[in-house]
Amino acid sequence: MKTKGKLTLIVGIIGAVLSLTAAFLAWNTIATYRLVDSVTPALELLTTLNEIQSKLHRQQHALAHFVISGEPASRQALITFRGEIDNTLQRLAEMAARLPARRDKRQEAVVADSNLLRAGYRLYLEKLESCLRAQKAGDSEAALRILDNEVTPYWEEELLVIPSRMAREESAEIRDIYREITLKLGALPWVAGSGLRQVTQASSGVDYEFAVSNTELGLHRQVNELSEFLLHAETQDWQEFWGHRFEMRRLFEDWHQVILRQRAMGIDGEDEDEKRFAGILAQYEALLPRMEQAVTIRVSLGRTAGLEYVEHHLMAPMDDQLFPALEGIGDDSREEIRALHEGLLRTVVAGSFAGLSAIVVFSILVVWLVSRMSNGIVNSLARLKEGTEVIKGGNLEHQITMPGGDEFSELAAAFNAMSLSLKEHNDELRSFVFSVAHDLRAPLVNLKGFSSELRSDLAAVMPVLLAASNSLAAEERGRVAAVLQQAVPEALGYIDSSANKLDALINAVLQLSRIDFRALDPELVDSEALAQATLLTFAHTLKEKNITVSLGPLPAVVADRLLLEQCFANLVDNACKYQVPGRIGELSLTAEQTGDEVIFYFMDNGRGIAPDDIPKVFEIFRRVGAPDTPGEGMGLAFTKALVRLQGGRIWCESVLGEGSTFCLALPGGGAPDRSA
Amino acid sequence: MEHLEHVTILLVEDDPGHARLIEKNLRRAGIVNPILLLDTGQKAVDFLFKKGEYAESEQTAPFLILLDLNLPVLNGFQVLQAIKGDPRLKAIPVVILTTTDNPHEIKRCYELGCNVYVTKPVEYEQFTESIRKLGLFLSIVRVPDRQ
Repeated sequence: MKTKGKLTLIVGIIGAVLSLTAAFLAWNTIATYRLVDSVTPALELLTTLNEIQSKLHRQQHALAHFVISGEPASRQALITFRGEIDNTLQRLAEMAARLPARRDKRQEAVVADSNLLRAGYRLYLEKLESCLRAQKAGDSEAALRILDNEVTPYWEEELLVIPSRMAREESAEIRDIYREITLKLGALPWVAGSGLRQVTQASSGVDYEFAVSNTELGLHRQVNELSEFLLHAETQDWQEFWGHRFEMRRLFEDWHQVILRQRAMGIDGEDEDEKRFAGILAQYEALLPRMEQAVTIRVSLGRTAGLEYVEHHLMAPMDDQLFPALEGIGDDSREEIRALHEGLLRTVVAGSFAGLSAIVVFSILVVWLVSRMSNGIVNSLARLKEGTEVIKGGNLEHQITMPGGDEFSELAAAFNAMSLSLKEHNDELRSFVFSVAHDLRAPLVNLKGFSSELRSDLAAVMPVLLAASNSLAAEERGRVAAVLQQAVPEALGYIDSSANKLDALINAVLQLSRIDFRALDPELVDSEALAQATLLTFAHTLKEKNITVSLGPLPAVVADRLLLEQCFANLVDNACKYQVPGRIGELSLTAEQTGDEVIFYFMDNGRGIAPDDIPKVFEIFRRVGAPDTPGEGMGLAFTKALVRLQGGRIWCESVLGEGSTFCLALPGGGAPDRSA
Repeated sequence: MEHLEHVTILLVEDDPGHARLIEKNLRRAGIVNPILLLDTGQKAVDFLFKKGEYAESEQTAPFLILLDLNLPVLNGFQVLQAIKGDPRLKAIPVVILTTTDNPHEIKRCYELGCNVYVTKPVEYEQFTESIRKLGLFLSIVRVPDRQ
C-alpha cells in the first residue's frame, strides 16, 4: 500500500475512534437524562403513598371517633375520607401504569402492589361497613368489638404495611437512581463538577422531603396510639403511646439533621427551613400537654369525654395548622427538588452538547492535522522521487531542494551529497580512462613509426643486400633472401596489424569516454521516420545478407536525435552481423508504451545468445559466441552508454539458436500526450 | 633577426622514440640546424633559465622550441607558462607538438601564448607528412635574436 493510503487509513481510524467516543458519550448523556427524569415520577409516587398512609390514619381515627360518639359529623368525615382515598388509590394505579420501565421489573412490582393495596382497602371497607352497621343498629358495644377485633388489627397488620413497604422500597429506589446518576456523571467529565453538586442538592432535598413526611406520619401514628388508649385505657396502649414520644423526638431530630447537613453544604434558604422547622416543633410541643390532658380526662371522666377532648383540642388544631403547615413544607420541598432536577437536566444537556461539540471540533482538528502532515510527507516523498529520477537519468549535478529543516530535507541533503560524490568519482574515473587511453597512443606512434621506418630502410637496402648476397653460397643466399623477403616483412606485417588493432581499441575507449562530455539536445523525434532513414543506410547490407525487415508503427519520443540514430544504427548493425547461415534473416522493429517509458524492440532470428552470455554482450571489447564475425566488441557497449546518457535502459532477451530481442527503453510517456 | 641556420631547435619530448622520429623527419625535410633534446619539462625550464645542471652552460644561439605537452615533472603547459611569462624568453617561438587533439587543450595553449600548435598523428604516413610540412614551415620562419 502506498504511504498516502496508509495515512488515510490512520486518519480514518482516528476519526472512527473519536466518533465511537462521541457516540458513547451521547448515549451516556441520554441515559443520565432518563435517570434524572425518572426521579420525578418516583417522587410523586412516594408522595402519593404518604398521602394514602396519612389518610388511612385519619380514616381509622374518624372511625374510632364515630363508633364511640355516633356523631354524624364524624360519619360524614368517614365518607369524605373514603372518597379521597378511592381517588388517591386511583391516582396511584394510574401513576404505577405510567412509571417508566426501570430495572428489576420495578414497575410491575409497583403495579402489583397498588392492586394489592386496592384489594386490601376494599376488604378494610367491608369490615368498616360491618362495624358501621352494628353502630347503626344501636349496638355500640358490638361495633366497638368489631372495631377492636377485626377492623383495627387488619388495618394495622395487613393494610397499613402495604403503602409503608411500598414507600420504603420507593425511597430505596430513589437513592439508587441518585447513586447511578452520580456514576454516570463521572463519565461525563464536562458536567461532573456542577452536575454532581446539583445531584447532591437534589438528593438531600429528597432526604428533607422524607424527613417531613415521616414526621407527619409519625404524628398520625401518635394520635392513633392515643385513640387506642382512650378506647380501652389499657396499660400496654398507654406505654405504646408514651413510647411514641421518643420516636417523635427521633423523627424531629432526623429532620433537623437534614437541615444542618444542607446548611453545611451551603444550600440557600436554610434559615427559612430552620424557622419553619422550629415553628412545627413548637406547635407539636404545645400539643403534648393536651395529649397528657386527654389521658387524664379519659382516666377521670371516661372514654367519650377523652375522645371528645382529642377531637376538639388536639385534632382540630392539628387539622387547622400543623398538618397544612407540614404539607406546605412538603410541597415547597418537592417544588425545590423539581427545580433542581430541571437545572440538572439543563446542565447535563448543555454540558453534553458542549462536550460533543468539543469532541467534534477536536476530531476535525486531528483529522486536519494528520492529513496535512500526511500531505507533507507524501509531497516530500514525491519530490525526493522526482529528484532521484533526474539523478538516475544521469544528471548527477541535480540538487533536490527540500525546505523545512525536517528529516526529509536532511535526506534530500544526503541524496545531494551522495550524487555529488558520485559525480566526483565518475569524473575522476572518466578523466582517468581518458588519460590512460591517450597515453597508450604515444607508444603506438613509435610502433607504427619505426615499423614503417624499418620497412622503408629495408626496401632501400634490399637491392644492395640481394646483389651482395649473390657472392654467397646458394644455401646462405636462400636464407638471406628468406629473411629479407619473407620473415622481416611478415614480422613487420604482424607489428602493423597489432598496432592498428590496438589503435582501434584505444579509439573506441576514447570515443566511449567522450560520450559523457557531450551535451544532450532533446527534441521531439519521429522515431519511425528515424528508423526508416537508418534502415535505408543499411539497405545494401540487408539485401546482401537476404534479411527482410518489418517496421511497426513507432511513436514520437523526446530524445537526442543524433544519439537515438546511433543507437538504432548499432542495433540494426548488430542484428545483421549474427545471422544463422542458410536461414532467411528477419528483423522486426516495434515499440510499446508502458507506464512512463517507451520501449523499442529489435527482434531478429539470428543465432541467439546463451543465457550466461547475455549480460556480457553489453561489456566493452566483449564478444560472445563463435568469433567468426569482424568487430571490436564496441557496438553494444557504446549503445548502452548512449542509452544511459539519455536516462534510458537497454537489455536483451534471447534464445540460443532462435534469435535475440534487444529492448531499448526511453523515459517519458507518449510524446503526443506529454507535449500536448 | 637571424636566419634559421643559426638557430638551435630545442626538442622537449620525453619519448625518445618520438624524438628520434621527429628528428628523422625534420632532417628529411631539409632542416640542418642543431637539435637539442630535453626529455623533461624541468630540464627545459632549467636550460632556458640557466638553473641546475645548466647553470654554467654557454648559450649564444637563438632558439626555437618544439614542445610536447605530456611531460614528466613539469608538463608542457607549465613550461609554456614559464617561457611566455618571462620578459626575456617570451619572444622565443614555441611550437606545440603533441598527440592530443582535444580542442580545450589547443585553446588553452594559444591562450598561454604558444605560436603554433601541431598534432602528431598516430598513423605514420600522416605523421611523416605533418613533420615534413612543419620542417618546410620552419625553414622559412625567422627568429628574434638573443638579447
